[in-house]
Amino acid sequence: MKIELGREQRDGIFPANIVLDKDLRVTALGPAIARRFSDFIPGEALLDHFRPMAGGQETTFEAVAGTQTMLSLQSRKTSAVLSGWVIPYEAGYFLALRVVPPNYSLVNSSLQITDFTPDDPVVHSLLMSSIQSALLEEQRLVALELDRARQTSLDLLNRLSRTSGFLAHDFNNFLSIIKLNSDRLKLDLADNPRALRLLEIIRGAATRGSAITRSLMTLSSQRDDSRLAVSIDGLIGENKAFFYTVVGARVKLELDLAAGGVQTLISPIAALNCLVNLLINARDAMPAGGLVRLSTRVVAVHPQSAQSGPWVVIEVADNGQGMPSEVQERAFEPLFSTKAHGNGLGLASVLAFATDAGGDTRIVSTPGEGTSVFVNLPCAAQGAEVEDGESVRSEPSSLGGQAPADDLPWILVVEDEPFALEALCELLSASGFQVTGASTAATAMRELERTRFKVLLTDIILPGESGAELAAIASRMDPEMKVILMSGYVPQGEDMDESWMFLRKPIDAQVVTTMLRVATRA
Amino acid sequence: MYGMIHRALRQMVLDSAGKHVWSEIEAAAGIGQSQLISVEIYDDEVTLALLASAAKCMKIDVTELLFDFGRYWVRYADYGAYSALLNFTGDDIVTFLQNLDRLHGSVQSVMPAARMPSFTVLSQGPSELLVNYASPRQGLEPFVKGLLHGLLDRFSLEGDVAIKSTENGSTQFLVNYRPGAGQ
Repeated sequence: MKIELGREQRDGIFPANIVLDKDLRVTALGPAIARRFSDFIPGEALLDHFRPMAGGQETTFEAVAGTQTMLSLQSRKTSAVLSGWVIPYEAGYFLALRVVPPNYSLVNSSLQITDFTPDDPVVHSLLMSSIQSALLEEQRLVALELDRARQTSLDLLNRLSRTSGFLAHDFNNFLSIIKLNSDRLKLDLADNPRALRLLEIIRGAATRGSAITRSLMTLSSQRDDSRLAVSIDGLIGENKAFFYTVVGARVKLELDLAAGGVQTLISPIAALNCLVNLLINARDAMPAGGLVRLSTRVVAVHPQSAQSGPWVVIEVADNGQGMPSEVQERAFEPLFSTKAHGNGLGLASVLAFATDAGGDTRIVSTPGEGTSVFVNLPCAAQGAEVEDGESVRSEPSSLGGQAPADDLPWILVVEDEPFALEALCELLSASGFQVTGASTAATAMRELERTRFKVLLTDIILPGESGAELAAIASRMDPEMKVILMSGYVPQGEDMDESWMFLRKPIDAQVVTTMLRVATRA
Repeated sequence: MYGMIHRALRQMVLDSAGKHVWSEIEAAAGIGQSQLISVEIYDDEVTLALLASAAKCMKIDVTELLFDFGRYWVRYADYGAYSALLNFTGDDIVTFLQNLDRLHGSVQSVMPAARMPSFTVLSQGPSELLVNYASPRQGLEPFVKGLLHGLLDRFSLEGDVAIKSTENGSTQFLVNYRPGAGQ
């Protein structure tokens, strides 16, 4: 069949066509070829510009002309490739070609849509892959933008947090002054009941003010559930009435507390949550009722790892339905639960609590016999944080306020708020301590160079050098000196030594004197 | 509409009126960063609320804003990775408009929820074009007018765009053009 096409039709259908004479010289070019190969013009020999290939090998026109074999023309000057069929006619050859895109990207490409026939599927492929690349690139920019926005929000939150923290600090300073001076007045007004009542009101207002600073500190991400040196037996003893209500009337709760006064460094709130979770699990394992035994003991080495201790072991054992080994293996896994309405967070939070305190957990269960969960916690070392307010758990009161018989000027108090410094110094002196006051770290340094102190009691936030920096220098100068840092706000980034004690503001007279007695005794 | 439209509008406002105006627009339209994700599809109402807020904050009417935005859209699409697509589609206004549906067809394949308009060059003379525009959306003629002006800008041409007729959901635009001063 013979088809005749006018030039316009020919160029429209095959934009990348080449018309050759019998000597393979160009007589006409399609617009895509003319545009892309500017020095390839009528009269030029095709083979000077292109290498004919077929099936990956160099070939001749005679071999492919009029066959179904596809010809590739590889530019001798660039990486451009054309491919198509060779159609012989009486005056020579008509090459019906297409531009082969080097890759499916239009970036840095000189390709035009008009280089391809109108229905060439490669156009759609090229466009699609390029649109996808462009979208990916834009999504990358969007991700960066979102990240910047997130960072901006974080910065704002951090600023707000710092502001709240410093507000809490300043507010606590004033509350300290009120509380300490109330305590000073209390000594002078012991025989005036009305004045004492008024003092109680003032002190009560200061205590309520402390609640506001706690809210501010929560906002500034200051931990409110401080880790304290806590006697587990004491904690259980104080809350046993609550535990009986947790297990309910059908379950008998037995306590066997043998850890004595041994303390662990934990958050009391988290410890209570841990115990309540274990008791709830035990109760739920015995829907018809049964026995739960909550026991504690102290062991010299870790029961499993043999790591030296001492360790406090808490055990909650029930005689309920027990659990198969596959459930035991996953029992501490977050979100894993076999209960119909369980959230799978109870035992996971027990594990988190134990891990946070430097300990671990173990579960032993026999189907049909019951389950025991063990929580192993390391015993507290010296230097535990002591909470302010009325819930102090350190028990050095047996010293009965007697100061050690030592003529050293024991206490160096560093506090930049003059009224607080004055009140603190007077209160400590009245309690039998020898006290030197300093309002800056620089003044304190001069005192430290001149005199040996038993305890450095310093505010953390000071003008110039911080209390923590001062404490670090002082500890190097005299490693035996005890350090107590006090603040209502601990700025992030402060380098705190584990052996230092911490006193939260606003300062309570009883707490600070108790801490100092512990420190001077040690 | 796709979030890409919102991003383009934001960029136009940032370029022409500044960050504070865009903040006002965001607040007035009740949108934020999460409505600016290119490949997310947002309800047309969100886009319309954004356009209305933008017009109000920029103290122009919506028709004028749509025209400006259409004109800006061509420039915006020429940014970054989309530039190669525009270059590929055509290197003169006629070729570009003749192939725009092919580009839109491919966009539709990649973003199936997109509702793309259609452009057909009905006739062309040495200095004028008759272009038919059809879209599943209504009321965007000012945007298209701006878009055709944007194409004149892109190909360094000067000229006018006028609506010749509107019937059966499609609109014919007459584009008169001549080489720009820089040609």
